Amino acid sequence: MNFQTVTGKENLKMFELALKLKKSLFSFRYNFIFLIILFLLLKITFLFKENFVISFTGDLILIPIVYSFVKHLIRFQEKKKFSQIQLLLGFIKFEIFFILFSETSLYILSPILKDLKGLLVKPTIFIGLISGFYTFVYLLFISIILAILTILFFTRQKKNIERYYKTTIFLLILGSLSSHFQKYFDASFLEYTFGSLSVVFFILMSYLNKWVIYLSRKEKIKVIIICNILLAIVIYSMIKSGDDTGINDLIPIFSNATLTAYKFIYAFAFVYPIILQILIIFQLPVTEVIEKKTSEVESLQNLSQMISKVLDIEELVSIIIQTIERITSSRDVFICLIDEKSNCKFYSNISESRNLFDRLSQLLTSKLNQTNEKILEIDVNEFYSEENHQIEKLIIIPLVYNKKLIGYILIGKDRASILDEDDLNTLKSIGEYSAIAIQNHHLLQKSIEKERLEKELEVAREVQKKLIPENTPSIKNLDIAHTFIPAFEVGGDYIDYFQLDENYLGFIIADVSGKGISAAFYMAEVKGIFESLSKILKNPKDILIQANKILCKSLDRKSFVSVVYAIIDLQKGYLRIARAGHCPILFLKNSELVELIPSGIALGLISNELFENNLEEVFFELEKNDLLLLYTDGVTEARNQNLEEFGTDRLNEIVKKSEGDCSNEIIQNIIEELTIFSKEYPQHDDITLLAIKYLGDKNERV
Amino acid sequence: MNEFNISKKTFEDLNIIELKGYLDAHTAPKLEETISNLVNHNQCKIIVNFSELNYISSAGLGVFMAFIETVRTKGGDIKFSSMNEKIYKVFDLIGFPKIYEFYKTDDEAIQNFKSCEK
Repeated sequence: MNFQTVTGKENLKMFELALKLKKSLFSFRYNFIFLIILFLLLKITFLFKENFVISFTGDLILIPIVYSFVKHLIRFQEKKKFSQIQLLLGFIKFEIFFILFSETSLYILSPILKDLKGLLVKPTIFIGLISGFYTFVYLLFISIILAILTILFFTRQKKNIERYYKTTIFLLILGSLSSHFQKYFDASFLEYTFGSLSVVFFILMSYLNKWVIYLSRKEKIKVIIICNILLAIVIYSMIKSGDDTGINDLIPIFSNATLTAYKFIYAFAFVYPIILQILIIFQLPVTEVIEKKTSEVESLQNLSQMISKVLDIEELVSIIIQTIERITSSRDVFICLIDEKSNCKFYSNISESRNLFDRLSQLLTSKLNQTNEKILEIDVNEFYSEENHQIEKLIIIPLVYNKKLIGYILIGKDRASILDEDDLNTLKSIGEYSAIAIQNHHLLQKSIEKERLEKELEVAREVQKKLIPENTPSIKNLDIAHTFIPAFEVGGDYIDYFQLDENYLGFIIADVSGKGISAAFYMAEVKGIFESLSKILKNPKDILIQANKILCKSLDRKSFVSVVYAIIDLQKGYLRIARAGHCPILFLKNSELVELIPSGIALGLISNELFENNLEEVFFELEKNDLLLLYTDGVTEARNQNLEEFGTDRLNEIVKKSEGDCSNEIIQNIIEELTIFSKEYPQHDDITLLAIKYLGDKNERV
Repeated sequence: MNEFNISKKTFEDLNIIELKGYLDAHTAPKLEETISNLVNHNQCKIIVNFSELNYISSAGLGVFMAFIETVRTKGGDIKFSSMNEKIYKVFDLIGFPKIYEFYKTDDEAIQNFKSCEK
């Protein structure tokens, strides 16, 4: 077992090694070096043997060397991403460097070159080495120029020019190799045919150059200047190399084809700048239009990107305004957004007078509400005359989303500027983008608000739940039951019991006006007030008067609290009860139902004597099986699908029928009926019920 | 969603607000804005007509309380008119009849405003 795993591991290692080897064998660098070594070996072994096969094979090996080097250079460009102008400048630099190099070489090599003719007949190893060195320098130069041209051809190219490119290169290779046949017949004919064909294809390809179109005017002029410099250098170097005693004569010793290829490449270098210039000159008049279009497209792209990112409306509007400013080159851009109450709100990057906005707002609301999605042009002087404003024309773009007008973009222009079809189309699409952006923003805002409210309500419900007693107290002589069903939007209902002492029980049912978090917190305050007051004061009227005084100070003017507060003497069955603005108290005695409505204004409404004078406290004696039912308006105002209310009549009827039931049963009955009544219709207010049945017996007391 | 609408009328220096539909915590801000606008423009003699109101919640009632003090110190009043029995019962339970004047019709309310001026 152990042994096997070791071999397994070793196998794996071997495999990995093999893979690595394979990879490196095929990798560019190794191939490159391998080919060069192969070439050199070939040359050294058969040094200067005038053998067709050998020299032809040598040149054939050079082709993949150049190919892989060019490929490497292109890969380098992909990493560095030089601009086209930088590439052209690079072209010039290499050219200058090459000329300088040749000049220096000529000077150094002048003694050798003097009697070159004699040397060529019987070349020495020394000459061979020099020839080899220059051959590689030439090859390097050829590769660089080819790489630059290839990169330029393929930038921004949409059409498939690969075929042209391959043909050109193929002809170039054929032309170069045909020089080998010189010895057997006059091959210069072949050389020139292939060479000129390759140049023709090169010219065709040059005309398909696309990258020139996308240059700005400034860049195009730059390119023209660079092209002329390049042309001058190429011509200069062509004249120079025309001299008889040049390095050119050295090259064929090593490689015949290199020199020919070099000549063709020079032809390319000569033709290319000329064609570039022609292209640019033809395109110069339309450059401005293209530039404008490109900037429009870019602006729209930016805008659509920003739409998804911006949360702040001010920022969003500012981005829209900036985009329009860039495209229309107007400095007076306003955006008017119409809110739900159809008020206009203006946004602008300039601080134009309020006066203008007011006038615009009037104009927009009066004149334009009927107009649909059309862009309008309006003469400003018609409605606005103030000395120091330069705006003479207003372009109005309605912002429409889902056929609903949500605002306008207003662009101020001077009289001279004219908008053509194209501009209008662009503005229209900006209008569409902006409308979507603004509407998205509104929707997002709404959902954030909704989430916030839901969180708030959750807190409110939590508060309320903690304030209402979970269980009813078990009190001698009393059968007590209550239920509390909170609404989603917390209604502010409250019930509580206060065990005053052994013999007295106080209880309360209350409803704070309004909903949500404010109702929940007022409710908490109410609980605090009654808890403390019930300890000090012993009759409901006094407690409510004091509670009113406190609440008038602390509640906001819109809010109030309706309350029923009662105290029962458990032994004697005496009940003292007061009502402040609350629903009637149902009193069931011997299957007779009475709605008790002692007068009383809700707490927190008025603080003066009016409250005190209107507050009535009822006193009566409870007998065995007398029932008190307290409820909040959530019960009687519960609705069904037809928006009918449950109402007091239904409630009273149920209570009446419940004669003999215990408190809990009565409440269950009411809830059951309520559920049947409202069915699926959502509950909109808290539902609170409190039933107290007196069980004390008079006879027992005596 | 329950509908709620407000329409406004003026009669000399009186403002008559007619309410329609459901006045609850969600629609109360609309009424509040309407009254607040009137009060801000010193239009403090207000009659609220309830003939077409179907429902009023505690939040709806609260709106009137928010302004009554300001309106009265400015020499005006908020008077209610044409209230059906059901709505009146809600007002009555809370104790509003002790604080506000209720009239059967707008005319009666107008007459009352007039007689007070004299």
